[in-house]
Amino acid sequence: MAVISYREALRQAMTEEMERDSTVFLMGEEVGEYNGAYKVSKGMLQQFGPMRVVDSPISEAGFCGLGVGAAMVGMRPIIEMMTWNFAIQAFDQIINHAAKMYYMSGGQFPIPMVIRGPHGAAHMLSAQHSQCVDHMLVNVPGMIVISTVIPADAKGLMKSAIRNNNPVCFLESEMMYGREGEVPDGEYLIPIGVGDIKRKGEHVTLVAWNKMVYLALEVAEELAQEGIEIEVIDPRTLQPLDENMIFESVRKTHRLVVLEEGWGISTIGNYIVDRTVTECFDELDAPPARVHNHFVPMPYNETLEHEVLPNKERTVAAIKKVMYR
Amino acid sequence: MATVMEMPKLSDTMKEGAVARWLKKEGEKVTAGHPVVEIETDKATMEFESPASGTLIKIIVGDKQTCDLNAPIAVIGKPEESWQEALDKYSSKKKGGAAAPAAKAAAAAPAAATAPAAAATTGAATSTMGRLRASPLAKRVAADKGIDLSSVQGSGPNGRIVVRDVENITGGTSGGVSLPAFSGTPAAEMEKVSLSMMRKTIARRLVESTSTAPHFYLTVSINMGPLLAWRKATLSKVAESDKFSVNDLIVFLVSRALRKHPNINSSWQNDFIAQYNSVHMGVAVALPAGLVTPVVRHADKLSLVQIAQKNRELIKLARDGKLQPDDYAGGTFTISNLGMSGIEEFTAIINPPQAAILAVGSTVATPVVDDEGEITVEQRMRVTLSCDHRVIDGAQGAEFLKTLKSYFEDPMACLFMG
Repeated sequence: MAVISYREALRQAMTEEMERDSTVFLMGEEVGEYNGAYKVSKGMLQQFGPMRVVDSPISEAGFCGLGVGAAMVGMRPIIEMMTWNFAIQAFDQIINHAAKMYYMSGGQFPIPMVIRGPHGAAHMLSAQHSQCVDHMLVNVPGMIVISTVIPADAKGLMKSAIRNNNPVCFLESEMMYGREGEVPDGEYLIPIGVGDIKRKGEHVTLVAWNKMVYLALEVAEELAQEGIEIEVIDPRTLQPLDENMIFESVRKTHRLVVLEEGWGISTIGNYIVDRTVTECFDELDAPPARVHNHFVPMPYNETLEHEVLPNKERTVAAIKKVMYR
Repeated sequence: MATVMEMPKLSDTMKEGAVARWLKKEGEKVTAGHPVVEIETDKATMEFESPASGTLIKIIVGDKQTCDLNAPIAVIGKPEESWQEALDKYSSKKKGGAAAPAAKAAAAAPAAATAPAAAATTGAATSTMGRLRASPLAKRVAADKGIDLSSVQGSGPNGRIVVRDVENITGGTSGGVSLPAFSGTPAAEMEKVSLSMMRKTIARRLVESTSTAPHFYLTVSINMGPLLAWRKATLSKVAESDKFSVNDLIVFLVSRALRKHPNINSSWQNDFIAQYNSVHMGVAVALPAGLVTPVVRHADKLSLVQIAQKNRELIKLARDGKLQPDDYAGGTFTISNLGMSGIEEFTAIINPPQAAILAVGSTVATPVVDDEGEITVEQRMRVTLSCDHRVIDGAQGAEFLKTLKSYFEDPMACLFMG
């Protein structure tokens, strides 16, 4: 098993799938000549040529709509959004067309399309370029939402996403593209909708995804020194969500903390807490706790940015609160 | 200004209190110093007086409900006053110094912070209102183990009972006794009997006794023939009011024997042994709900007739549930007599912090080989002394029983006892 970066894992998945299936193509801003804004598609133009690695105009609504049309006629497009902040331009295409086409055409037009790009805050990009839309996307029936930054998971799930016949929103992270990890070579598929226990523990269930998984593991390592064993669950797929993995863990630990990036109102964390309280009411020894962004536009100032994002201090406090420590 | 009435501590052994019955309803006038509520302590039900005059504007802990000692149970004030306000004021005052910095911090925080802060205050106030707070898991675990949550002290916020509070219950520490779950017993085959304050106290104190005091037991058989004959002869000559029972005789003779053996009339106090100059004799009285041990004070200085009168008085109070804390506190030795129930011999658990207890069996006609080798029939009574070995050694206990036996078997010597 090779140790490669997260961006290489994504590239490997796309490349393998494009080699395997000639209907798969990549389109987005600067994915070709410039090798991708974050170099995820580096070298792919050389390998597959301009018909399959397509530089698009700076118009998210336009090239996302092209993707929907291509999918309707039998192609399997991968649409790269430079970030999910820009994908907001394309929400009409994503929500009204990609997600609903199969339903509204009475099953005539499946949309086997992947829309991918970095999600959430990077570093000092201020209010318009640091936000999360995952909670909006999971609220639309007809789409799959995957959010992962672990290299092996990224490869296995990207390959499954490209082969899936539904529109898949694939949420990455700009800050994590350089992080490395062991990734299985060649054919490696992870089923959509299956979570992963990133660390076993018996005292608290900590659910986190995307780059919050790394924060969760850091907190778990630190609190293990104090004898608090945290079970870190990464759902990896947010829609559909692997609820049973969370319920099973909570039935063991009796305590739940959800760590998520983004504002805290009507979020995936809210949903997880709601489902857990409903399904595991008699198992809970403390009200579930949540850690998320403060409810303000992201400040540019670095110190304030750290304060607004979920951080170690607030996560540790939440864990201790549910432990009554 | 309204007055908040608290659950009183009516006895030294009381760990929580229960309102047996309110004598006044909400909205009725109450007068300072007049009874307003009946409180069930671990031993008895006692009337409790109103701390102020005015109107009973709110009952917080209702009939048959339990709360912690010193928790607010009612608010007395003018009819137009808000009991909630009075209670909030009382709670913040009670928190005292500790609450002040928190309040200051809240004031310094931006306006947005005031709403949650206010909510927190109300939360704290309502927590003292007698409602039981427990996490769902704690409730489930308690139900599985058969633990009564009202006897458990919560360690979570607002006194919430959380799972560690019920998991950690071991005998004698939290008022509950941990029992194995009735696994395999269908619910239909058992009936849940809720615990009275008395039951809880018995459980707590006896677990404490057996887990801390190393017990050993000494049994002796006493020839009761001469004493019973003497009693029969005497009773025919005394007035009705001066009549005495065998039990009164036992209290009288045991207290005299204890006077001679103060090392038995003592108590383990961790860093010393207390030897008492007087004998305060606890006499176990069985009640439908459990057991109490009212105390005959200075039994060693009372005459037989005085002991008989005192015993009659205490037993009546015990059966009526009217014993006052003074009636059952401060015993130095206890007698448990099951003779009248036909029990020939038994061992008793020491009533802490006392060092010994005497278990008295029934008097039975018994064949005995006398000094000449002849078999005769005697009225024999077996008594067993349970001793706390931290205080009493075997030989000391034996010496005491030897004295006791000689007193019982030579009633004429009683004539010379003060």
